[in-house]
Order: sequence, then C-alpha cells, then structure tokens
Amino acid sequence: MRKLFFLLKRSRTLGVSDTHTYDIPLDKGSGHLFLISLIGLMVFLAFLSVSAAIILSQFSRQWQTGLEGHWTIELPAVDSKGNLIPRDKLEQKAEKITESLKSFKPLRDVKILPQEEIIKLLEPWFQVQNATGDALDLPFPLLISLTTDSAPPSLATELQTQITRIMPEARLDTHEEWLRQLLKLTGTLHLTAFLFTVVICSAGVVALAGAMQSRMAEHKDNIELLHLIGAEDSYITRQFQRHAIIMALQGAAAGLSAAAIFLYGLRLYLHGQSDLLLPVFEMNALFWLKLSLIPFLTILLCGLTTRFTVLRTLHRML
Amino acid sequence: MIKFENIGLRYGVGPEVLNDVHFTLEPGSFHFLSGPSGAGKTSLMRLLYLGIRPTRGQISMFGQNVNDLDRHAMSHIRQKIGVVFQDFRLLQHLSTFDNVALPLRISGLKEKLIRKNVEELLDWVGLGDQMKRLPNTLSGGQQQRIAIARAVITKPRLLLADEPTGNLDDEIGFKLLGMFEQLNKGGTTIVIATHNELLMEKFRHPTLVLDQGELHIAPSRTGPLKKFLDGVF
Repeated sequence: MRKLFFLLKRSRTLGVSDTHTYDIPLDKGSGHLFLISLIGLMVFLAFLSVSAAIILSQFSRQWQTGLEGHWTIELPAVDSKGNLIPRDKLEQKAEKITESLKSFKPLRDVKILPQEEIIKLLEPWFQVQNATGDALDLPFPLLISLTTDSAPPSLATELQTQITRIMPEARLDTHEEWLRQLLKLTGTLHLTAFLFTVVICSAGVVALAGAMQSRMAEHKDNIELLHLIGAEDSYITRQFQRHAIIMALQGAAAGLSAAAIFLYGLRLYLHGQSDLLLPVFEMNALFWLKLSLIPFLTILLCGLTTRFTVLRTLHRML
Repeated sequence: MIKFENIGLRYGVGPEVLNDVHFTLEPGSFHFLSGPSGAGKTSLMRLLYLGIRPTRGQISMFGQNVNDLDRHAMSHIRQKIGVVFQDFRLLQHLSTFDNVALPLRISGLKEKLIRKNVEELLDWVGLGDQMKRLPNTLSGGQQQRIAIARAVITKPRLLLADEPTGNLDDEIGFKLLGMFEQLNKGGTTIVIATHNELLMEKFRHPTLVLDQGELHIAPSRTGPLKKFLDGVF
C-alpha cells in the first residue's frame, strides 16, 4: 500500500515544481484518453461477466434450497392407455396415497396441492393470468407435495413402491434429474463467464502493452536523455507504471459506474417481469465486495503489464 | 582517470568514423576538443558520455572497464558525468527548476535538498527569477544556461560540453568558460568540444584535435604546435 502511495505521490508540494508530474510527458498526448476509455470498457465487460457468474451462483443456490427436501408425486389425468381418469377418482387415489404415506417417518408434511395452485404454477407456460382449469380446458394432473427432513437414500424407492401399489401411473419426482441438469447448465455458464473474463483481461493486457510500446517510441528521445543523465531502467519504468496505475484507476472508476448503473437497471427490469421464472438476484454487500476485486485486479494487471513491457523494451534500448 | 585505447567506431556498415583513437584524461584536467566539421567530434563526445559503444577498443572510466559493465553499473558511471548537449535537450514540459533538478531526482536526493541546491545554482547562472518558466519561453542563451546548470548540479567528475558557447556572444562565452574553470578547480575533469578559436586562444588548455577520425593532442593553442594545429583547420 505504501508503495502504491509512493507511486501515486506527485512532487507538486514545493511550489517551484509546478510542472513535475512525470519526467516524460506521459499524461499529455492523444492516446491518453483512448487508453482510459479502453480500460474503462474492459472493466465494464469484466464487471458484467463476473456479475453474471455471481448472479448464476445465487440462482442455482436459490433453486437448490428451494427444491431441497421438497418432492412431488404426480398423478396423471390419463391412464397408460390414454383414457381420461375421472377427477373424483383421481382425488380418491390422491387421498389414499396421502394417507398411506403418513406412516413414513422422514416425511414431515404430505399435502395435495389445490388445483388453483397447480394452475398458478403453470401460468408462466400458458402466458395467461388468473386462469381456471375450466377456462384452460385441460386435463390437469393432481400433485401431492412432500416435505422431508433428512431423507435416507432408500426413501425414494420405498415411496415409489408404495405409490405404485395404489396407482401404477403415479410417479415420484425428487427433482434430482432436473436439478442436475440445471447445475450442469449453470456450471457451463460459469465456465463461459470465466473464459470471457480471461479473454477480456488478455485483450486488455495486449492493448496496454502495445500502447506502452508506442508511448515509448513516441518519447524515445526523452527516455534516452534520462538514461544519459544516469536514470536506471527501474526509475523510468516507475514513471510508466505510475501513469498506467492512474489510468487504470480512472478507467476502473468509469467502468464500475457504468456497470453499477447497468446492473441496477437490469435488476429493476427483472423485478417488473414476474413471468420470467427467474428469482430476483441480490446486490448486497457481499456482491459488491466480490466485484470490488475487479478494480484492484485491473490496477495490478495494468501495473505489472506496464512494468514488464517497459523493462523489456528498455533492455533493447541504449 | 579516463582512458581510450585503440578505439574504433563505425555506424552500421559505413566507414570508420573514429580510427584507433588513443588518449588518457587525468582527473581534474581541462581539454578542448576541436577539429573540422565531420571529423568525429560528436561521435567522440557520445563515446565519452556513454551514449554509444565503440566498435572496437577499450574504454575505462573511473577505474572501471566500460565494455564489461552491466546496465546498473553503467547508470552509476553516467551519474558521474555531466553533459551539455549542443541542442541542450531540455525537457520542454518541465520548468527550469525541474529540468535542473532532474539529475538530483534520478540520484534519489530528498526534495528539500534538491530545492536548496537547484535554487542556489539557478541564482548562480542568473536564472533565479525564471525557475517556473518553461524552456520554450526563454531565449537560446537562457536555455543554454539551464542545460549547463543541469549538467553541473550533481558536481560531476567529468563534464562534457558540446559547443557550449555556440548560442552566446563572446563576452558571455568567456564568462561561461570562467564558470567551467571554477568547476575544474574543484576537481572536475572537463572536455569542451568547440570551434571557437578565440576561446581556445584565451583559455590555454590542451586540445584534442580530431582530423578524419584520428586524434592528435596539442598541449595548448600557443607554442610550437600552434602551426600544426593551424594547418589542420
């Protein structure tokens, strides 16, 4: 931290030294604003990419906790031959299954879901609000919701056997397969976000290295003069490094602001879209704490890239 | 002591600019470097301030063989050399103060001491009231004085000046040489590249004469060698 402070410290405190920011006029020139904009854009994209990864983690966590210990028994409205099962018969079967499951100790709660609740669950797929079963005119299955405390591995098999005895078409859904697919998808998206961040960082490093090399070519005479006066490579490198760190700070601030506005806007938009099947993501302190690593990493990356590039180029000089 | 042994220099595949240059500069000596245009004066100066490396031969400075030095050691040697470039090579975005302070900042001196030293020196060269001015707002003579102040601020062991009186009238040129002589009395070895005959006549110091890449040494511009040197020009 002290080193960073030293790097950023400007020698303007003495009154007569009003012009001494850099021995090489790095902060003057057309490329300066371009580089800040470039870093800002990189930071913005990195923010979006990392935010996406964090939000995906939130979603998969919410999906997991939402489904954990919650199983469903589906009683289809048609039998294996495709004939419609009368509603009252279906309800009797459901009652029977519910009664028979009460003897299973790990089950905390067993209840038949009312038809309105089932329709509500299906509403997003039908794009219809406040519909009734009659209005939709569809043979809805009956659902029994089960809540377990700590299910032993054999419980699902035992339950399925018990259910089949009463109604062979009934099926127990522990959501495992669906959850597995979902976690696989979020894992892939995580990896994509990570790779995207790596690509952004690599592009940023290459662009910055190129920009620094062109800066060095632009100020070749001044660099040579500093060498002739006795400046070591580290002295010259520090000037470029300080310049890069200040640009990284400015770029990171711009990128962070733009990303914050974008994310708040997105959150507001998603809040208003209840039919998107997506949970609302949290932008709490932890979320921002994780994202705040990006400016630090940007500064570190810019500083190291500049140091490496300048030292390597200086070695080829006088 | 500065020693050049059989130094040869060529740029790329061109002809040799310097040919078997051989001389020794004792500590505290004062030499002029003279010769017709294109004789290799600037090349010799560049070798002296370690701006280029010779194609062949050996240079030793302050007891070290320059050919074997790494970059770090090279910087240390350069810090002992003050250079007044012919075109001054001032940093145009820095004030007079900051230009002169540059070698001290490079050597890592504290700002408080830098301020004291620079202010004293700028007063001495008559630029005490121009400290905040940028070089391009000053006259050629004033810029030259900044370049000289920058070269001497670290009290170098070797001072090299390439045509330091080029932009000055004779009176100021003599004053400047007087200043260099003061420094020389303090033990600084001085080499001044010049065409100014009057200056060499007035300040009788040995002259290194370069002619077609070869170096001759004349004790001074007077005496038995005067005829030989006059023949060169």
